[in-house]
Amino acid sequence: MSLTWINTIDTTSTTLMGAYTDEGNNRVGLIDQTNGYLRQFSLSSLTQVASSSIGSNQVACTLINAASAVVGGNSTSNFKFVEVLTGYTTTFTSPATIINNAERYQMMAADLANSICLCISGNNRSLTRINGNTFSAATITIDGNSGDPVMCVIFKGSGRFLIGTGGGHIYEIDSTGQIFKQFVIDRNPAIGTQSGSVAAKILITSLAYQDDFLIVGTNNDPLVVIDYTTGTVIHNSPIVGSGLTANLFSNTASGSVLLCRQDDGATSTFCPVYEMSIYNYGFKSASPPLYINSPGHYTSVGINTVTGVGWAVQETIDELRVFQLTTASSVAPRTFSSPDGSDFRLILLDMTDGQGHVKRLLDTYTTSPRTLNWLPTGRDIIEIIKVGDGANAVWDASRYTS
Amino acid sequence: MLNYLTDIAASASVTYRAVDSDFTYIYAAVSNSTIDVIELKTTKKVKTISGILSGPNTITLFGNGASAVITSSTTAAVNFVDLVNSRVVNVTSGALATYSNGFTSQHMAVNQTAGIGLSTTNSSNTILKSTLNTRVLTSLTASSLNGTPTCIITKQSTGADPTRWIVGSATGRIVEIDQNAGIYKTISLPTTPNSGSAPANEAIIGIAHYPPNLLVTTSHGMMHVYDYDSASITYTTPIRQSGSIPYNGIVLSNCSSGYCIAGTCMSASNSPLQEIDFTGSNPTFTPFYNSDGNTNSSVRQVLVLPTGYAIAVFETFSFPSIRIYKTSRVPAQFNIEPFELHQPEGFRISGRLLLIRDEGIGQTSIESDTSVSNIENPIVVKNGVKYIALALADTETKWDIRELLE
Repeated sequence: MSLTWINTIDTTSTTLMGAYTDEGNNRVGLIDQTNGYLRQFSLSSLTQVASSSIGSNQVACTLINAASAVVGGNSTSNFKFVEVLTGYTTTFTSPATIINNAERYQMMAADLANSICLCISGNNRSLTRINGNTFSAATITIDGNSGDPVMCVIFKGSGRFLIGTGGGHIYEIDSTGQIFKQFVIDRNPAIGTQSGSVAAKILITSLAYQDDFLIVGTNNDPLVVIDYTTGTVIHNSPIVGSGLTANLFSNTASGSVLLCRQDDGATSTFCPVYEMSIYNYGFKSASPPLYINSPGHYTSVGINTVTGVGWAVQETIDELRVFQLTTASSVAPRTFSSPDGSDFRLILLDMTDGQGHVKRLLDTYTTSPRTLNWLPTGRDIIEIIKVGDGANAVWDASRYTS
Repeated sequence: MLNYLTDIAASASVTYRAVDSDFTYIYAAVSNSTIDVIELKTTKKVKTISGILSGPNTITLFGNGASAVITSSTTAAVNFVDLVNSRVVNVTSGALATYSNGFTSQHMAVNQTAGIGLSTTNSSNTILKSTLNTRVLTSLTASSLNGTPTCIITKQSTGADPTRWIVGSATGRIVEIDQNAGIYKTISLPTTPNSGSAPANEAIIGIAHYPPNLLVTTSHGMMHVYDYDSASITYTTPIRQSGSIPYNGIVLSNCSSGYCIAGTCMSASNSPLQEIDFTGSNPTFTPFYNSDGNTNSSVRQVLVLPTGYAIAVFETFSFPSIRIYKTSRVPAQFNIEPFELHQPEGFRISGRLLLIRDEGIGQTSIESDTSVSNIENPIVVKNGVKYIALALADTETKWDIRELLE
């Protein structure tokens, strides 16, 4: 796997906010806040192919269905529909939602098949449910309307969304706000406990989901990977700082996700983009990071999962940066199960490179059976399954070429 | 895993800057040009030594703990201190201040056998050599650094090269040198792929070495593990935001048996200390969060003692300045466990033994992968850690798997 630089597109804007991938048209749509436009760029010709006037202070956008995008602002209490091919714009003002975009990136997410978009307000547990079929919107609340605010939202699939809060909570919900699953990221072991103001709590700043793995980015705290079937944390990033260190993820593609770490706003001139792979020996960087030669906060990053083209935009840099993700080996699904159907620990070792060069491919705790869709093929694999714990644990192992 | 024990507060209006320990006492260099001698067991201050240089940023014991050498980031001087008689010898001839950009650590490294300490400076390609028994200071030139030295450690000896140091630079170079700045290896941080121009001035912030691996943290917020002999990167992960020192460094403790502790040298409420074991196929990380609100501060230094203590020095303006932890890891102490490869049971056969360090789900690492004979085979494991032992017969069609509890 590797990231290969393609090119830079000059957007002519000095303030770039939210953006989205339009896979059907192989485009990126992004908010040019300086001039008040939603601009669309082709990921093949690397040129602007459309633009629509959307007014000032727009911060978030997403494609809501194959034909339309939705845009929302942080000071104007209205949403706009934009027809992506014609540029025609429609405004609606109810409910009067204003998006608090401070330290927030994944502010809108859409179920394209059903033309439903959820948008955070950023100040409480409410979201705006935008219906692209009826061109209407309504407010929904999650687990009560008070408490830590919703920080980010992504589409999980099959009508479900994942949201992260300013108190370390992650909820799986449907478009009515019904909760189906929840996790809490905490700090443990520790001296003292998180308490007090929102700033003292864990801010979930970004989420990515694929293959029943949930990748959680935070502001002041480590990046976490969770086995979604059992809620087991299987990876904690080494260390983080404070302030401006929010993690920002792209959507996932073939088991990989793009990760942008924000720069410190001081003297940095290179802000790397990382390709992190779930199936790569402990969620390490799947390839050398791509050094982006400019300082500035990333506001959006994405992948066209069809073409493998990635892109990223920074708030104060007038450029859309485009690069290619390449996967070196083919992948295939494989199903694992425990002998008695109970939850089990699964360790996959890659023996391909010979003695002294064995690598851990995956180590997780999961329900049975479990299908992993993006395992590399052609590898010499040892599969270890452990059921139970302690003296009564039952172990099994097998070896095969994937 | 770290367990919090206690705090040691500095006196009003001063902060601790650096520590070393003989396992009985902590010797702490203080911002008001004194050394506090603190009994580790009781955390009581038993003595104060006055008159050391201003701006101390390292203190290193030598002479079986009877003496200490101290450097400063603000003063072009080196102190040699008789800790028993509280005498301070200030040497300025030939002296240079250490690298001073931020709260980075690892500014001086002493080879006790050779009686030589090498320290960073603010001058490009320049290392300061302190000969401890003669108190002579000498500037060395190491042009391979290609810039200012930012951190320095002693290289873990492999027998043939007992007196080597590994130096990091502000331009992303890692250079192995001897006490006369003879160059033995040079590694440059990767600069590709990039968006059209190569990154410049990515500084090395922290280094830890345990053969065959070298752990490196950088000012662009990255952590790399190198296979040191081949100078190839085997593991990369982001650890901080991109940026530059002094804002984004990761301070690494001293290292023993592939184990060290990392702390962030940026004001960071709740930022954890991380125990890192970088032996084996991939590093494993165990965090400990300082969430009590008292440590919203940069970590200046972390010191790991082979007796199972860890001492963190925080850049605080109030309290605590020193925080002490107990670690279940006791570096450099090993158990020897017999292992018999037998399949079917009772028949010992030769084969291959994979020793998998198991620090919890998602936290496994291949620590060794060796051939074993058909006689009883001793294996080396670390204290305080579980292992999974997977034995494969020579034909590799038969296997045996066992769990070794801590």
